[in-house]
Amino acid sequence: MPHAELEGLVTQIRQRDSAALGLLYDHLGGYAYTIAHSLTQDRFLAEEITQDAFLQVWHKIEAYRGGTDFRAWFARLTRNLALDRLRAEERRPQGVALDLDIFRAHLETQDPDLSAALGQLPPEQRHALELAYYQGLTHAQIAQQTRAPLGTVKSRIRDGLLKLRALLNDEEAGQ
Amino acid sequence: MNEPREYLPAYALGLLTDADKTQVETALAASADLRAELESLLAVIERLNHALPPQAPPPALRAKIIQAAQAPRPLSMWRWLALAAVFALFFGLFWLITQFEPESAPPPLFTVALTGDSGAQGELAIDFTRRTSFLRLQNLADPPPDQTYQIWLLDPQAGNRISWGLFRPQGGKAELELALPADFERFRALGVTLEPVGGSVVPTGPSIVRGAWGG
Repeated sequence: MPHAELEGLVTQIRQRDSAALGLLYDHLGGYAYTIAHSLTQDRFLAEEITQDAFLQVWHKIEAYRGGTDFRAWFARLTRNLALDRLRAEERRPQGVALDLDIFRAHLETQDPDLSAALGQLPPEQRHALELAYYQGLTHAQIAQQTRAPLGTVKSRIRDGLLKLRALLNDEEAGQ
Repeated sequence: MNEPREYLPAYALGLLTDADKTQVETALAASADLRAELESLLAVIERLNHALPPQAPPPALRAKIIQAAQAPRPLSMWRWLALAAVFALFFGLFWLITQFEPESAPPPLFTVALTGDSGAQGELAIDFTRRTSFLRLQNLADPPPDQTYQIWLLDPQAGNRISWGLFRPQGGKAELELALPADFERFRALGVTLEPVGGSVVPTGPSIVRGAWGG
């Protein structure tokens, strides 16, 4: 859905139009659920998080000030709700182990350029970024898992995301 | 916190502590440059999001969300305390004013007692200034799984009523904030009935509580 149409739905939601909320769900429901599920690997949790995200849009739409990409704002809201749930429970549901290879394989078929850009990052930056993005681990958890100092982990994630952005910008400029 | 810009990647990924997050958001509010920087980082994360293995939500989730959005919102303890403070202030001022001006205008804020044969009771506090109201009920029985409580506003002149929302009590209690409809002034009473899940077009179940105002 084009940006302007999404903004139109947001305007209608500000006017308490529940039909607009339904249309927004039609466009972003699967997206929110996918983000929540990728982090939690739990269908029930993903369902609850998706519902929470849409209800926050409905009840607290004033938090979105407009003039920015609503889709990116909504994705961040959903991701943060999922991270809050993970951290509140201090673990994923038992028996769930995230396999980064599954995400990497899908990324390669879905977005080869992004996959290639990730592949150009120094391995330690890529690994730290993947643990943060795909698994939703905190700085401290990544430091523990990779046995690296906390400050080093923070630098790796920051530098990795900034370098990934630069690589993608170069790729777009080259097209 | 040093330079807020350095924290933006971690902020975009949801990695910051609440304290750091608050500081970044303060800096973002004051700087269009930082907001643009964040947007560009979120665009990278958006691209990662789009490459996630897609998952289909359960088909019933859409209706569940719409129903939850239309249901009245439970009030937090802090909002009840704030409301209680407003009420105390208002009635104190109202008492003072009426000592000197018995014919003053009707108050913009008042409560309606709600009672019923079921033993349930409560009150509706109406705030005309903010166009909202607060419904508090207690001694409510848990409805069967296929039933729910439905709130009605009654217009005695037109002889009709409208649904004002559905709710299920928790621990025999319900505390809800209800926005006043634009034509609220035509209504003179509130009722709560027990209805099938999803609500009814007109009341069909037993009356649980009822209260009237405005003579």
